[in-house]
Amino acid sequence: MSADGTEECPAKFEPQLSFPVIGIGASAGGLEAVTEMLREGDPNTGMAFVLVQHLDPNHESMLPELLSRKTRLSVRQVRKGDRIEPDTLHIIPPGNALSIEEGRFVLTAFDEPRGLRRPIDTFLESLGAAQGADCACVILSGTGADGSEGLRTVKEMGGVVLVQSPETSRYDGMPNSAIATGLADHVMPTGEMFARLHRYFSSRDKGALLGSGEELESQLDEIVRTLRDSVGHDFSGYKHPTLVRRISRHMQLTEKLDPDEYIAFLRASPAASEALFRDLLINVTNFFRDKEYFDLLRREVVEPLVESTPRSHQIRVWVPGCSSGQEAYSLAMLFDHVGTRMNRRPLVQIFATDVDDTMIRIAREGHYPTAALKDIPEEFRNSYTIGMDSQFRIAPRVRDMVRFSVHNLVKDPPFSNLDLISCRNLLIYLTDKVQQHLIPLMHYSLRPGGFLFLGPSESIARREDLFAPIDQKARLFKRKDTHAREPIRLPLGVDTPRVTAPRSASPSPYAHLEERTETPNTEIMERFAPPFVRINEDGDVRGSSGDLSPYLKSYPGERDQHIFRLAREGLRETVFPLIMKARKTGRRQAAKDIEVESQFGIQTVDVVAEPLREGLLALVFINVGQFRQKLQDYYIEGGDADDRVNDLEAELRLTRYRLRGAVEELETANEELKSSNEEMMSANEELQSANEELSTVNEELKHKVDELGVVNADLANFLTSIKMAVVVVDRDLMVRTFTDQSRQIFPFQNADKGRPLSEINLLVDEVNLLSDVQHCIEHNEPVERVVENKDNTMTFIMRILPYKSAAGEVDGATLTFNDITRLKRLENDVYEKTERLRLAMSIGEIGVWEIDLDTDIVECDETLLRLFDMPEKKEVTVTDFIDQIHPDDRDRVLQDFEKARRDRGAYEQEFRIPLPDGSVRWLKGVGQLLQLPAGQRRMLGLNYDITFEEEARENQQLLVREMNHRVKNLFAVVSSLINTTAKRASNVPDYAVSLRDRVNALGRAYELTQNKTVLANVDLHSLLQKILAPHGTAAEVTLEGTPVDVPVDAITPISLIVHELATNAVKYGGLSSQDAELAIHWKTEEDGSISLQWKEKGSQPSKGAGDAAHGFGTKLIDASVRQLRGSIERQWTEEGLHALLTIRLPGNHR
Amino acid sequence: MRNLRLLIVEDEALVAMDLELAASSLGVGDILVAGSCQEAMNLIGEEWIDVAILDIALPDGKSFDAAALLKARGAGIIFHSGHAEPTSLLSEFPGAEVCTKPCGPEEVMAAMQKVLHPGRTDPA
Repeated sequence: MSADGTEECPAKFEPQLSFPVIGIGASAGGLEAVTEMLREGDPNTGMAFVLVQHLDPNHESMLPELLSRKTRLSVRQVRKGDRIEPDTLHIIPPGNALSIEEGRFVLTAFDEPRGLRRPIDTFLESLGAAQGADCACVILSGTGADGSEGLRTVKEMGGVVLVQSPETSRYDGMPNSAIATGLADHVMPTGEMFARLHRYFSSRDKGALLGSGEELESQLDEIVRTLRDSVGHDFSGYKHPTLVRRISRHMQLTEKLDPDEYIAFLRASPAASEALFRDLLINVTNFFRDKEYFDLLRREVVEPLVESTPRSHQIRVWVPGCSSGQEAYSLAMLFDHVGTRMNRRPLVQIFATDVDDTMIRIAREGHYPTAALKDIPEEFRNSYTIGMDSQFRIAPRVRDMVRFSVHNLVKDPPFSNLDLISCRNLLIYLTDKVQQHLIPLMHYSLRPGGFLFLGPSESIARREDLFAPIDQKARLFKRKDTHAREPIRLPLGVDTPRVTAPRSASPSPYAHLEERTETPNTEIMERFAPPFVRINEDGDVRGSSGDLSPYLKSYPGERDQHIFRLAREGLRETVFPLIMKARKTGRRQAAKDIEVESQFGIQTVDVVAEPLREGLLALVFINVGQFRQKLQDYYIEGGDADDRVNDLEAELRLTRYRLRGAVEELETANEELKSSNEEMMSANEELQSANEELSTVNEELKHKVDELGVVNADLANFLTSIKMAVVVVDRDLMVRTFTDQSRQIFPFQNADKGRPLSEINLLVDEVNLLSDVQHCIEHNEPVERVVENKDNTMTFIMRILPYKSAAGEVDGATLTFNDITRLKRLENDVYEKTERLRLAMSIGEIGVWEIDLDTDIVECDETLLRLFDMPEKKEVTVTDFIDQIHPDDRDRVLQDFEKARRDRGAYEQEFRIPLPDGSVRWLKGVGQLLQLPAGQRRMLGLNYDITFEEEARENQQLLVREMNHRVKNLFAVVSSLINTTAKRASNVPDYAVSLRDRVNALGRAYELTQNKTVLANVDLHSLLQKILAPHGTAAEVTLEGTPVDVPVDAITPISLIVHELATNAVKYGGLSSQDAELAIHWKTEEDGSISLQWKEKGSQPSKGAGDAAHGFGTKLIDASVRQLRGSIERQWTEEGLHALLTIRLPGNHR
Repeated sequence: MRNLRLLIVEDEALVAMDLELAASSLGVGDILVAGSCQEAMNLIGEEWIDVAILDIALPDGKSFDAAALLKARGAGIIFHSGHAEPTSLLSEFPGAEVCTKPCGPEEVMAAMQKVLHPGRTDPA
C-alpha cells in the first residue's frame, strides 16, 4: 500500500462469479416468506439465490421438495463442491455451514455448539468477500439475530441489503435486528423483493450512470450542494471515486437511473437525501478490527499510558468517526483490562464522535448481535458483555468510560489534551485537502507524546514533521513536539445547522481552507504585507491575513467574531467611527498613530478602512514605529549588531506568549464546553432511561386501570342486582360500601362512605352491633343474630362475616341483613295454630296416634294412653292397645284395623275399655292410611271418649223398651178392668161410672210418674193423696208415715187397693159423712215390708156385705194385695173399717 | 173340664183375675195363680198341672224355665204376653199357643181349648 493515502477501500476487486448472487437468510416463518418471494420469480434473470435456513441437523430437510413446487426457478439442495448456477435456488443442507470459495460451495461442520451457530452470518460474510458489490442479502422472518453481522460485510463490500418488513414477518426478531444495524437498504414485503433485485442488478450492467470529466464534476457539485442544504453536511471533501460509487449505487437502489432525474428526486425527497447521506458516511466497523494491530496498540500505547499516568490525571482518548461504536468500546475494554491487570486504575475518558446521529444513537445503546461476540477476545466477554437472548450489551463499567456525541470533525472544535486519537477508516474517504487540514488539527489536539492510530491504508498526509511512526504497518504514530509552521486556523466559518428545507447557498465551511492554501501569493502576502481583516456589514470578521495579535484578541473556536470584541485597548474606540465613516462615504478612511495596547506592550499603528464589494470592508493595520515592550522580563539582552534579531526575537517571544495565552483560553473554553456537553449527555441518558421506565409503568398502570374499571363495573352491577342489605366496613369500622337495600338498616347517604359506622344511626334494635363487628374482626369469627327494626314491623337475620383481603388477612367485615319478617310471621302463625290445636285436643280429650305400619310402633300423646287406661311405656305397639280393649270387642276392632291396613282404607270402630272399677269406657277410633313419599307406610288417627253418648243411648233404649212394656201392660190392665167390672155391673151407667172412677184412679196415680223417668219411684204419701183426692173433701183425712218410695210396678195395685177402700169408705164407711174421719198410718217393718193401718172413723159401721159390686171390690183388693205379696186384715168395728195392710214392694230389676 | 188344673202365671192382678173368671166360667175345676217365676216353679214342682197360661215378662225374669218344665211334664202351654215372638216360641215349644196382649180372655180360652184338644175347633 502506498503512503499517500490515495487508495480506495476496497482494493480493486474481482467478484468470483459473473452474475449476482443473492443470499437469503431465514428461520421460523421463513418457508412462507421465501415462497412469497420467489413465487412469481422470473427464471431468466441470471440471478442466483442461496437459501440459508435454520434446520434441524438430525432430520432430512423437506425444503427442496416443497419449494420446487412453488417457484419456476430450479431448486437444488447444495452438495459439496457444487457450482453456483444462475436462475437457481440453492438450499443449504441440514447440519452444515455454507461458504463460497472460488465460485463453488463449501460445506463445513459447525464450530460452535448448536445454540450458537450463525449459518446466515457465516454465509453472508463469505458471500460479501467473494462477490463484493455483485451480491445482495435478504433477511427474512425468524427469531434471533442471525444475519445482522453478515449483512455488514455485504454492505461494506457494496452489496444490497434487503430486509423483510417486520409487520409482514411471522417472526420479526431477525428483521428487527437487521434493521437495528442501520445498514438496511430497503425494508419491504417479500413479494416485491424479486423484482426489485432484478431491476437493481440489471441497472448495474448499464455502465456508468453519472457522466465523466466536467459533466461528472458539475453533477457531483450539484449533489453535494443538495446534500449540504438538506442534510447540513458537506461532502465536498470526500474522494470522488467513493462518491461516484456510492451515488451510483443509490441511484440503482432508488431506480432513478437518469442523473437529472436523480438530482431532482434528491431535492424533492428529504428521505432520499438522508438515505444518500447515510450511504456516503458508511463506515462499517467491528470490535477489535485488525486484531493484531490492537495487540500492538496495547503493548506500545495502552500499557505505557496506564503505567505512567498518575492517579490524579485522566487518560483521554478520542475516536472520531466512531460509527456504531464498536471501536470505542474495544478501546475501553482494552484500557480497563490492562488497568486491572496492572492494578492501576487511572480514570480513562473516551470521547467517541460521528457526524451521523443515527449511528451515535446505536452506539449509545450498546446492543450488538450475539454473533459479534466472536470479534471480542474471549477473556473480555465475561467481564465486559452481558448476554440477552440474541443480543448482548456492553457492561456498564465499560459503557461508562465512553461518551458519544455528534461532532463534525471539520467544523466543530476538536477535543484537546488527548493521549490517543483512534481515527480509522475515516480519512480514507476524504480528499487530500481535508486530510491536510485534519492531520495538523489532530496534532494540535494531542498532548506532547500522544499517539495517533489510523486505519490500514491510511496516512498522515506527508506531515512527517508532526508525527513519527511507531509501526508503519499498524499505522501507529507518535506526536512530535514541533510547532506548527503556521498558526492553526481554527474554524471561523459560519455554522450551518442541519435543516430539511433548502436554504440559500452559503459559503462552504471549507472555503477559508481553499482560499488559504490554494494560492501561493497569499503566503507571501501573509508574511510581508500589513496584516488585515475583512469584516462584513454586521462587523463580523470574515477573513484575515497576517499576524493580528498586536491589534486583535483571539477567541478561537468561538462563534462571535465581532470586530469590537476582538479589538484591543486603544483600537476599539477608533475602529467604530472609522468603519462607520468608511461605510457611509464608501471611500477609504484612515486613522493615524493609534496606540494599541496589548499585554506585552504598545504598538503605534495606522488603521485603514477600505470598503470592498458585496458590503465587505478591509481593516488594514500598518505599523508605525517600534513595538514598545511593557515588561522588562521579556526583554532579552542582545548585541547592537543583533538589534534587529533581538527585536525579532523579542517579537517572537511575545508572539509565542500571546499564542500560548490564546491557546490556553481556547483550551479552557473547550474544556468547559466539553464538560457541559458530557453532563448534558449523561443527563440525557438518565432521562431516557427514566422515560423508558415511566413508559412501562404507564402501560402497566393503564392495564390496571382498565382492569379496575371492569371490576368496579362488575361490583356495581352485582351490588344492585342482589337485593340484599350489605354493608362493608374496614378494620377501623369505617364504612366502605353499602347497597341500596341496606338503607332499611342504616339511613345511609352517599356521602357516608368513609365515615365511621358508629356515627350512622341504627334503624334496628341491636345495641351490641359495634362490639359484634369488633369481635368478628378481631377473632375472625362470624356473628349471627336475629334483629328487629325499631317499630317491630320487620325482622332480619344479621350476619357479620370477616372481610378477607387478597392476602387472606382480615381487613374489615361484611354485614348482611336478610329480611325474614314474613318467615317469622308464618312461624308464629304455625306455632299459634299448633298450640291451639293441642289445647283443643287436650280439652276435648282426643288422643292422637301415628303407627309405623312396618314396625307397628305407635307414636301417641298422653291423652291416648289415658283413654286406653294404659300405663306409660317406653315404646308402645298396636298390640298393647288391642290388649286393653274389652275381649268381646277385640276381634272386631282388630279385623277392621287389619282391613284398613290391607286395603288402604279408613278405619272406624267403637269399643269398650274395661276400667279397674268395673265400669267400661266407650271409645271411638278413626284412622287413615298414609303413604309417605319416602315409601314408609303410616296410619294416622285419633280416639275419643263416647261413654256418655253410649250410656245415653243405652238408657234411651231401655227407656223405650220400658215404655212399650208399660203401655202394653196398662192396656191389658184396663182391658181386664173393663171385663171384670162389666161382669159385676148391674146397669150400664153404674158400670160406666165404676169403670170411669177406677180408670181415673189409675190415671191420676200414673200422673205422678209424668215428670220423672220411668224408672224413678213415686212417693207413697203423694200417691195416697192423689188417689184419695176425688173421694170426699168433707172428711178429714190424715196421712202419716215414713217416706216410702213406691216402685212403678206397685202403682197399679196400690192405686186399686186404696181406690176400692176409699170408694167403700165413701159408700159405706168413714168418708160418708161430714164428721167422718180417716186416718192412714204406715211404717216400714224390719223385713222391708210396709205395714199400713187404715182406720175409718165413720158414723155408720159397715158390715161389709152387700152387693156383688162390693164383693168384686174386695176381690180386686185381694188380688192386688196378692200381687204385692202382702196381706190384708179387715176388721169391722163400730167406727168403721180397720184394715191392716201389709205389702212388699218389688225390686227394680227388670 | 172339671178335672182340669189350670195354672195362670201373671203378675198383673187384674189380668189374672180376668183370666181366672173367664176360665172358671168355662168350667175349669182348679185354677192356680202365680205372680212370679219362682212361685210358678214351686207350684209346678208340687202340683200336677194340665195346662198353663204364661205371661212371659215376670218381675223375676222370663218364664221360659217354667215353660220348659211344663213341657217336660207334658202340660199344655199358652203364652200370653206383650213381648211374644211367635216363631221362636213355637220352634222351641211346638204345640203351644201364643196370644198377644192385649187380647180378650175369650181368645185366651179359645187357645186353651186348642191346646187341650188339638184338632177340635169347637169348645167343649
